[in-house]
Amino acid sequence: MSFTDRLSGKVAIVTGGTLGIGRGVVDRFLAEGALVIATARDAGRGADLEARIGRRDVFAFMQQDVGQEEDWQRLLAFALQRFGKLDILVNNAAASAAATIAETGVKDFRSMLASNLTSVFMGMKFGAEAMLRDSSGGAIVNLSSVAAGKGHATLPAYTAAKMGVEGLTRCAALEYGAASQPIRINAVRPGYIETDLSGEFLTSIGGSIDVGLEIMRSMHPIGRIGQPADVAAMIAFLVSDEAAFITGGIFSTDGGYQL
Amino acid sequence: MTGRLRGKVAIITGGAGDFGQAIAALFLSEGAKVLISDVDADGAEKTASRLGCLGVQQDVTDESRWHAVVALAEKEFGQLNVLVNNAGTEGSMERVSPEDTPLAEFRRVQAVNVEGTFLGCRAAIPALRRAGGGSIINLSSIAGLLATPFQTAYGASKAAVKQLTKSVASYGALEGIRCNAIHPGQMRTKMIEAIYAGTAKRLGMASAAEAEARFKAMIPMGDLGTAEDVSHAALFLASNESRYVTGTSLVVDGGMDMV
Repeated sequence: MSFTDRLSGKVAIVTGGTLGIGRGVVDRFLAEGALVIATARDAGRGADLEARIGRRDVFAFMQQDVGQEEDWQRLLAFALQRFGKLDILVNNAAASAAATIAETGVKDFRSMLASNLTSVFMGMKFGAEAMLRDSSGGAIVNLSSVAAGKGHATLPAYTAAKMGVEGLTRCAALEYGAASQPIRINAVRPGYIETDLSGEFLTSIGGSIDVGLEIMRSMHPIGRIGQPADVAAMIAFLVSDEAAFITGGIFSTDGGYQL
Repeated sequence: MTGRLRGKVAIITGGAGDFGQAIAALFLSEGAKVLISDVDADGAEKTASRLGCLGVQQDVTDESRWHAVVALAEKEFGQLNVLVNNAGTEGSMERVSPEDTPLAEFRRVQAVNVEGTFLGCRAAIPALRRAGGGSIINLSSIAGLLATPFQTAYGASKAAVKQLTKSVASYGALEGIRCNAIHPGQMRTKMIEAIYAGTAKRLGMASAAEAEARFKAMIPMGDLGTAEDVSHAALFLASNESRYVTGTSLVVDGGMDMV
């Protein structure tokens, strides 16, 4: 597939950028000409990615826990110092654990909200500050999930957080959309992504990895499980100027899963 | 440009209108072969000769005409990969409330917007199947998402298009036939001055400018969108970029459906 240069010269931060969808977004943004900073909790994975990508002039990694306010401050200061501005933020980092309400401790619930919801709040709050510093406006994409569209007995914290992300997205789009240099803010709802399905999860639903994969496939009308590149293509469209009139929306990229 | 539609053949109905012309122009610039149709024979011919594509007269409510148009695209270009069901009617500007709308007017709007879209999907599916899959793009509207007491028939028709889109998406998914809807918000089209004037009259405003200000105040981004905003959404949905996106609603409204 050939790519456009829609993001040429734009500076982007992608949280959770070393794996899965985040990694797909990093590759895609670089291919479209952006300058990219990826973050993740695991510094080792970040060093590997820096070595693999190699292009120090257009890519950097920074270790970050998205649930920590000081990590956000450190990251945004680094972005401005390294690339001079911020145009794009993809709040992709997330944590997930399968447990019912009865099984979930209050501390664990709070920790899930810190990683999945408060993190997005902080990303938008401090990210918008950075974007408005050179008053050029920008674009933010928050990763929701098809989980936000219905109930799940074993994913209460994750589902609540993702529903919260969609609510925050809409409020933030109103707050930042009317500025003279607006920041457009949208959410993307991916379906399941093949690379993110653990063997443990697949075995739990199918008895074996192969049967589990077959069950997951059958839940997506299009006949296959999603790839990071599928979601990255939607995100690249949404942050580009081709989506200049799109804000506050929820965009599914799910192979028809929600049908 | 980048040839994002190279090798693809597209039919665009309502091709002489604002959205139709913008979509056709962008598709051509991205390498597609394009057949536009319009109920206005003269408009279809002039637009086609200006853009350098094929143009034919078509009333989208005419069942047999659909088969001829699809057959023509396949004969001239060898296949059909994309159908944009863009033709539609806003309906009358007079007698538009649920209480006042004449039945004949209600039926006329459903015939063009709902039956026309249904007939297009039905006629295209076998052709898209012959091509090994493809993309159907239905023009719904923000009027299909919000209450429209001053566009009773139009709002109902566009909500029906959204639902029809999901059924077609679900039906065609396994064969690689994707179907999505675009929901434009308030856009600056040739009709807009008449809409301002009609609104000013209906609400007893002093001038059309007052109506224009009222419209803009309802849009979080503070201004109307353009036909190009719609054409870029159509390009994304027509291209392989959106290969994992089906059954979804792409809202292009400057955030209007949030408020």
